[in-house]
Amino acid sequence: MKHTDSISSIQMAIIIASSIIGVSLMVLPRFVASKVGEAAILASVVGLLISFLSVLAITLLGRKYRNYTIIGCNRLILGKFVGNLMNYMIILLTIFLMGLEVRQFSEVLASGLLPNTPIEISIALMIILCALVGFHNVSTFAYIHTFYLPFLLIPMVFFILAFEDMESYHLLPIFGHDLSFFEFISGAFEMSSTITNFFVISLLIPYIKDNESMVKNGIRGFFLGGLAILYTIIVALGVFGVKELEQIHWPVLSLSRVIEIPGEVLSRVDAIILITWIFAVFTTLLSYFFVIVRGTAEIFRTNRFAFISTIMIPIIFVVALIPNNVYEIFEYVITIAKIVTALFILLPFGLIVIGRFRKKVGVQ
Amino acid sequence: MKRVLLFMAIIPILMLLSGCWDRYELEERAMILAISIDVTDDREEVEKYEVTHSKGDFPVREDQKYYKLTAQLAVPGKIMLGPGGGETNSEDTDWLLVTYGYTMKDALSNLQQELAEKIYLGHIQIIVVSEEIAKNGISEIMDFLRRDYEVRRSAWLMITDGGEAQDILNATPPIQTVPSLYLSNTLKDAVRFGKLPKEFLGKIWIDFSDIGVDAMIPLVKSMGDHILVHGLAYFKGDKMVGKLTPTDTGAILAIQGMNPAGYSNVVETEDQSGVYLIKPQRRKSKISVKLVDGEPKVTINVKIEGFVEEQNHVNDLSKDRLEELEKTLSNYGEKALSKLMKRLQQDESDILGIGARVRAKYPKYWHEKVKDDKGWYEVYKDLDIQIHLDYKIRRVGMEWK
Repeated sequence: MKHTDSISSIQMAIIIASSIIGVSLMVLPRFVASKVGEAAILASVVGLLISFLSVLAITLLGRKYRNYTIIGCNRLILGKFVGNLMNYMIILLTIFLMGLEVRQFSEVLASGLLPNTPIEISIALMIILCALVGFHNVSTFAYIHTFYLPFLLIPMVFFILAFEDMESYHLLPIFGHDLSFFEFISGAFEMSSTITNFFVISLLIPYIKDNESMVKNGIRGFFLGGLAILYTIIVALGVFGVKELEQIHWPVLSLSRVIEIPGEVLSRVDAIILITWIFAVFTTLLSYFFVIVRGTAEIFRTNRFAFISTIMIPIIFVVALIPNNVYEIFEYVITIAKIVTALFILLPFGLIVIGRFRKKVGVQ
Repeated sequence: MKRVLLFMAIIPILMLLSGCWDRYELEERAMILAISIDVTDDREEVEKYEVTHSKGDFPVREDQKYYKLTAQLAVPGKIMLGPGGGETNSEDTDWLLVTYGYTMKDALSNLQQELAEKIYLGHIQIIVVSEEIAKNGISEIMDFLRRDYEVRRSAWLMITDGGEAQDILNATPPIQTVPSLYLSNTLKDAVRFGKLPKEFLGKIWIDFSDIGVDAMIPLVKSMGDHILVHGLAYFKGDKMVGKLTPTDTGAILAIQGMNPAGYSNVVETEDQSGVYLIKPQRRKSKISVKLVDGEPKVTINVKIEGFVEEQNHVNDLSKDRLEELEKTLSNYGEKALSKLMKRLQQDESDILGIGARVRAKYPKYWHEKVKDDKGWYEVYKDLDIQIHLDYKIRRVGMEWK
């Protein structure tokens, strides 16, 4: 595919970081802690490493086939039929994930911020907002992420004020209580399945200028985002402890309500945290939408991005309304996210291996 | 044509993006600043309302409690901010409303029925609970407060030392325009000056959830138009089992190593000639847990640095005298702290979180011997706790002698 715009690999790193800090940040501490207890920190680290495998695989694949997105790679290496089957699956899973994430976002709004606003409105507006961005230009997409990243990271400084409320006995023992290896790994896997959407970079590969430093910068970007998530989990666990975390619906929202700024310059920090979280949600959803729109466009070999995004709005909207209650949302999210995680670790590695056997060379 | 379509698309989006379903003007809110919760025997009052259920339809339990809820509402427009506020008396700015109910939400629904404005709990400062409820367990009234998104975790929870919780809200000091702000400021300053541990609502909830930690909640007493901070109430599970006097509270804060210290210590010389008041300035403590022969052993090392605040009956402060005072204080303090600890152990209230420390440090021991809260209380009762106190007096104030 011919293209004129391009991004640097540092921009790609920023896209990874701001994509993985997203909707799930609000619930992550509860997710992990209720699965593995006090071992949450260690499980998160292992979970991040599992996701890291996926980042590594995608960037390695990208270095090898630098002119193809994952959609193109699938077609090139797996053949037309199997490749397209894979591509449809990627798009379908992403649509479901995005729908459910939008729903999670609007659930937080509905029960924590705007109880009277119809949930359909907040869902629809968020999707429309993503669709309005327009996907003709990859660099625009990169600029949006670059612009918002500081807004995601700087407010996390406020969590430092919660340090004095942290208790060491909430964090120990780091191996958890009576935890089997299987439980630990499934907790870690759950952690990595909530931060799947860095895979947007697999659609950006042909646009990256400095292909050589892609792997290096991909790792950096992932660790920037990963550390921010880890930091949030540690603070939440240290302040609340496992038992309390299991009780709270959105631990990070509650955490932001504990924080008090000395001198009472601001009486409520939770508003600031919520606003930045909305930025985080937006950039995350934007990445999903990017995959959906650009991916579909490439499957059908067209450039009519505006048309595709308009069609996708009602589809995602309907998906978002499928779950009946908050418990069902998380059930669906976890199931689908696990498939996606497995897919995005196995697929790029599989492609590299199969590509070697079939001797398809991407670099002309 | 395309432009018209675009225009038609943009207009609703603009309106929706700025749309405000949740707009509530200040005047439309009934801002509750403080609530107090008492139990009442007056069943007729409770049954009078038929708001959340028809008469007799509430699934009454055998041990059903009937709550009397008093809410302090701010009257909008009456609170003067900044200078000029001095002219309004606190009695004019707030409004006390009493309602009854089977549960917290039931009572608040009944209250809402009496009010035109929508109840808003976002500015709640104080929740006063009567001693009777605390003794019977307060987890029942907590669920609503935890679930409601408006209630802040930084609000204060207090327990009355005898008497009705409602009396606390009646305290209308002449110097403050809003009574509940006076109450919350009293507690906030008590924490700042080291008279109370930092136990706000969110912290208390965490203590209730944690295994091996019990909660302590500030204790207040009504003094007519003002209140007295009267120490702490300590809990076992969700039930209050005892009270700590302000002196005991100071001791607990010393064991925790909290700074600054709020209470001075009185000490007499060995020959009983003079009496001194010493104020701790810096405190440090270390609670260490060890497993000796399969049993936990706790050592608490407390280091206090203080200065002389007052000297009575004599005038002979010297290096030797200070050393003598240090020794007496250390010995006496150690005994007092150990006695306090024994009392807490007898009442099976682990407010220092020793259980949580054991659980964190020796998970294997915990799973084999202790298992849960109940098992811990058995161990805690006869736990070997050694307290060492090292008191040092560094300064003597503006007087040399």
